[in-house]
Amino acid sequence: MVSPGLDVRTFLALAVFLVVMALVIARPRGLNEAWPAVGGAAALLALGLLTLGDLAAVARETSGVLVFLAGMMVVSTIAEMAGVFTWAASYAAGASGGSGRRLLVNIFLLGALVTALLSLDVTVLILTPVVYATAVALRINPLPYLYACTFVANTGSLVFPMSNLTNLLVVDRLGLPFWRFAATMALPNLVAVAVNIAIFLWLFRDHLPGRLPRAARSAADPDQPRRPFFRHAAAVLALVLVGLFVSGLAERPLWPAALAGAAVLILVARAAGVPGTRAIRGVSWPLFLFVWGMAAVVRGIEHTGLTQGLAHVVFSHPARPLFTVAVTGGAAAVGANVFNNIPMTLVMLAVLATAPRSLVGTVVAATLIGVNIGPALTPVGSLATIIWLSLVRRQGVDVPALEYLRVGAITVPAVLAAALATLALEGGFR
Amino acid sequence: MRRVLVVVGESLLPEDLDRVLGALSWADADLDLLHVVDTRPLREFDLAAGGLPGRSGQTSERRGRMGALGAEAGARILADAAAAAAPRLPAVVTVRPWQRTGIPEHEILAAAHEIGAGLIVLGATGDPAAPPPPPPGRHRRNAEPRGPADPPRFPHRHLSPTARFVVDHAPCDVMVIYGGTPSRTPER
Repeated sequence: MVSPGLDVRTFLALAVFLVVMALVIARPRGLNEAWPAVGGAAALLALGLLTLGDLAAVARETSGVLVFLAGMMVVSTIAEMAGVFTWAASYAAGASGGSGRRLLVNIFLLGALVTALLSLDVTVLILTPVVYATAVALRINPLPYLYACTFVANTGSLVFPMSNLTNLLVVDRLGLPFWRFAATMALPNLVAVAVNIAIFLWLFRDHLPGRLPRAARSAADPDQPRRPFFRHAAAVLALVLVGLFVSGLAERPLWPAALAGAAVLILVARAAGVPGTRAIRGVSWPLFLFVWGMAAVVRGIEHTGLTQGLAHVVFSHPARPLFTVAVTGGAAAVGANVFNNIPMTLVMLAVLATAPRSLVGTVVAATLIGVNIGPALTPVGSLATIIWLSLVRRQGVDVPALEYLRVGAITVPAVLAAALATLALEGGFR
Repeated sequence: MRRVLVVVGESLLPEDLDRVLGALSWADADLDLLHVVDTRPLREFDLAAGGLPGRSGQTSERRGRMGALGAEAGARILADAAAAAAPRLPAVVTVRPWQRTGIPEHEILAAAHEIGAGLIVLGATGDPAAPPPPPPGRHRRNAEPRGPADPPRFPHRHLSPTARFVVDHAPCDVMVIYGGTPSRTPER
């Protein structure tokens, strides 16, 4: 092991990491995050801090997660095209009994379900626009309902490995059993969503309609559920989810179920006249490069011994569950806001990989609660970004960004504290 | 010619327009119906989706679709409002439907300045069925006077942030409509 002192190698690796992070956060001229990450890996390779073998090893380690992600992106894109999410949002509106407050709760529950089963990305990218369409069709203010979606995407992303890319990376790398993970995170997840709902009902009390307008019309096509494309896509989606849970129970990898579901759904879409290429376009390829590049950069940092040094600091104190949970969760939440939550998770993973087995579970759970809930605090998941946004808008302050920050500042600390307290009361990872 | 700027949208729906139109004199007046596509929800989506690494391509496409949907829904509200207004106005009154995009309170004030509006009419809350306020002394907050020197207490009505901003900054008179049930002045 290399000593964690600031020798030249350590300094260079840190410098590369910080430059990569600065570019990922600032995204000059709309630069995709993937390029700084890959560039960072290339720089570390050139500096001799990474070998080609390391790059291949990182690719091997992340391949299961990335193949799973690609499969699930295709699955959710085709489910979207078949109208599954539009139908679900219309159902949530119909089940609200004409009450704006109940509609908010229903959107929260729908968002929590979609996040838990399909991931936060699906809630933000697919469900949020659908909820917007539903709200404008109902002639009500969409803002509280959109906030509900984007916040529950974070606060409800604790429970299953597939709910958040951060969970997937950690569960995969540390080999945590799917069901033990879910059993530990279920209660903190429920408490986080419940606290989030309560805060929003209060925070948006002046924005929520007491009754929905009578002239409201649904955004969904009433014939949708009878269409073969909808029925087949919904059935395959349900089967994919069953497949994921069975794989989890059997402690098998999740990617085969996702990939098989994607293949079947491409056939279903083609039968409905939708070319498979449209579904493939739903896959965000740069995300894979980003995850691989960032994992490689963090591996370079590991080689310098910095993460072992950090692990020594974290784990050298006697274990006190409440203290450990509070400090780890809080630090992870702050880190996820200062940086982006994916690099933050990768750094924490490198630290956790060297931790004593008895402590790993609890620290992992607290870390994930922090990195998953924390990013709701600031738009774009980074405090640096909001400062940047304010700087580039010279003519004035970006009002929506500040409003988002205000909602986050009220909501996130309470939700985070409630989830971490629940974890501590459970006695950590079981 | 007095220009009356009526802001339609979720806080003042076309079906509530007849109350507004009936309460005003239309001699030598024109009606400007304004709908503002609120960009805050769109921006909120931008911010949340922008936090997901590697997804910028999908974000902008969806954001474009959302903006178009918001404009379409607003155009429908404007068409319904114009259809509801026409039979209740003298034939000489010109009705101008108008759509703007931005932060509603800013756009309403900008529009009022632009046309030299003589009156702005807007809904008080986002709630089309807000109940009338309770009579003084029966509302929850500070319900009981604490002594003879205590000032009289009045019911609390919710003004939406948009309505409050417009009332605070308007260049002309403002008429605030409480949605759904006709607004009543509490009797003492």
